[in-house]
Amino acid sequence: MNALSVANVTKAFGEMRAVDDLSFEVRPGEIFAMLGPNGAGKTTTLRMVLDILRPDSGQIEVLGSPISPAAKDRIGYLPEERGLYTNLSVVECLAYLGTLKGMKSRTARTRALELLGRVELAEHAHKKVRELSRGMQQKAQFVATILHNPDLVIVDEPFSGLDPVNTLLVKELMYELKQQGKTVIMSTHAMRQVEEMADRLLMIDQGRRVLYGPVEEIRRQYAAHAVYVHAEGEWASLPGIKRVAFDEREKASLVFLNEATSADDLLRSLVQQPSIHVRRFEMALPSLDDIFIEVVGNRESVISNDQDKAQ
Amino acid sequence: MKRYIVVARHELVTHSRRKSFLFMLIVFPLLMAGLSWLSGYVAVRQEEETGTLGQVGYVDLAGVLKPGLARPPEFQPYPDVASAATALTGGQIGAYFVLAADYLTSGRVDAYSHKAIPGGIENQFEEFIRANLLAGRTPEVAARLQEPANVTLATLDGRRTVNEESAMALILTPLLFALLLSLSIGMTSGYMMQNVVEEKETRMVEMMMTSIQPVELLWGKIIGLGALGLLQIGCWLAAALIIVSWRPDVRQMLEAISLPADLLALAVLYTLLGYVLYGSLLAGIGASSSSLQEAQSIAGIVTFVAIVPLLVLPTFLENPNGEWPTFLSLLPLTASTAMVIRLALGQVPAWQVALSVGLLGGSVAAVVWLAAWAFRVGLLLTGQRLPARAIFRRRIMERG
Repeated sequence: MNALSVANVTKAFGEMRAVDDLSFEVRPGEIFAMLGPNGAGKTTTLRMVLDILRPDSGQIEVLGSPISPAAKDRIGYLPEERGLYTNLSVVECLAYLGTLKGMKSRTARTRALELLGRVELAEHAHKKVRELSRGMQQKAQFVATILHNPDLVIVDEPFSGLDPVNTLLVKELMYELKQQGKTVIMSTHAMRQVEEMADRLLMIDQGRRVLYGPVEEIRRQYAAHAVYVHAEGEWASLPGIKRVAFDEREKASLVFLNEATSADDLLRSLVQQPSIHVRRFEMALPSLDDIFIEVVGNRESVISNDQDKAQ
Repeated sequence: MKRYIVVARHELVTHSRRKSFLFMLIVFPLLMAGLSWLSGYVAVRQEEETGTLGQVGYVDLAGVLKPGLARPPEFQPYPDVASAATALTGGQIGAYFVLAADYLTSGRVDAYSHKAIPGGIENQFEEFIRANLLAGRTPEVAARLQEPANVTLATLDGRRTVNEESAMALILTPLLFALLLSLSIGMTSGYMMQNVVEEKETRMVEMMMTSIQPVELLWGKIIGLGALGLLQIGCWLAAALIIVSWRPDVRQMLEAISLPADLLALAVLYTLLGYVLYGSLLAGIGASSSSLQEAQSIAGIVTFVAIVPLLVLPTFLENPNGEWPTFLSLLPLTASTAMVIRLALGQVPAWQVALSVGLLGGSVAAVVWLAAWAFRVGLLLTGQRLPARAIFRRRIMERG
């Protein structure tokens, strides 16, 4: 049984298709990342999963069945746009949200206090929410997400607005959830966190699936067509090169190759040119950032090409 | 526990702790107590003033006041104007009346005093004259001439009767009912809108939506804030009863009115339906507006409609079954106040009551349905207005 399965889901707002025939599955116990540029349809997809929006077509199953009030109680959700009742004390606000998930008032309160201690907010538990800093509110909201011990945790941009120390804290909590056998879905732009934490990923663009699978596999797949090159001479315009980016960390050019071109082909053409002197040539494991730009950037160049043609 | 009860309890508890609520809860009864005390104080002062004038003289130039007839002890006869004037200057009397020689044809009475003469003294003197004029008639005729008709008012259906002393109450009762009703509607639905806009602005609602159905959330709020309104009105009524118990005159007036149980039951039904209608309407407005300011300006117009029956109250008093009263009592937005006024004033054809309740009930169902949808979608669009057309179109599409 999958923690989540989305099959051929489409959702349009007027003329715009926010989600277009999207299918993916999330396995139990994994950390699953949803990536995509702004407006790609990530939040709309999550809202459909949570039954806040209804899909125009397609099926969604959460924890083995179509979404139901009982299933909702087993989900914890951290929305991208955060908010808590600013007039209430932190613990009161959390206890209320807990009771809305079916918890007993007393249990919700006890667990809220326990988790607030865990995220170093114990001394702020009885303060009004509005007296807390943004980062603190963010952590309090993360507590609200996991308060009722959900089996499926969905977090939208869990690290935005957090300093490195608090990022680490939230990261640890997410690992803990995974160890407890819970499923975590995170929608984010923080590629480094995805590389580090996620088991599998889904990248969507314009509501469509563009990448999907285990993170390592995807990176390896792109590695076959990416190399680090440090060479002297005019080599960037050689045939077979799709795009060249400079990698700050590696202090070398990261070269993406066409589908039909292999690293061997490029090496051969480089050494065949007498004016080019190769200093470094290495197979690259591109970062998700690079892959993201590669996948999404390509689409943008295709669009601009189309526009050029149209003109 | 049902989720809507969780919401209701939360709304009741958190709102009842708000400073603005506690302020209204305490200040309003204090204001009423203050006004009641002031009017009581003025009445007492008037009585005291009547007493402070002391003896009052009179000079009967017309010869209509019979010497043999019992006169109130504070009235002192003087043979002529000069002696009365001397007594006034000397301070033996506070004022004197002079019945002109042609009194019987002109009715002229002159009053002299260094101070203003209280109305009570004038009345007493008039009564004294009347008693003298009637001397010689049988006591029954005299009594009837003093008070020719002792009217007992009855409503058109004859179920409620009010004697003359409490006739004001007959008009006041429906007015009070309608006022209380529109007050509770206005107040609680105001809380409702503020609450919804706040939830929209603080972005709480997206998390809420993952725990509870929009319609459950709406009902939770309606019940919770309704209970809050009841609590407030209840406290005010209790305070009013305590205040009234200090004023025997008001208490007597109220005790003279009889209210049949079925009228009360209908009033309660209309209040409930009216509240749910306005509550969900304003919740929907709150959910579909971009800011509290915008929501409030729309809500202002809507709640104004609720008090229209109070504004045209004279039309109701003139003929409770006239065209306008009938129309307003069938129109769902005004039905709750208009029908209660009509029912309190007299008989309303049963079919009109049934039709009015039916229309109101139908509107409640429709508005709750639309408001729940506005919750689902409108609340997600922070800082954006939800066009009314979209509410209808999308809601129907979702069903379909």
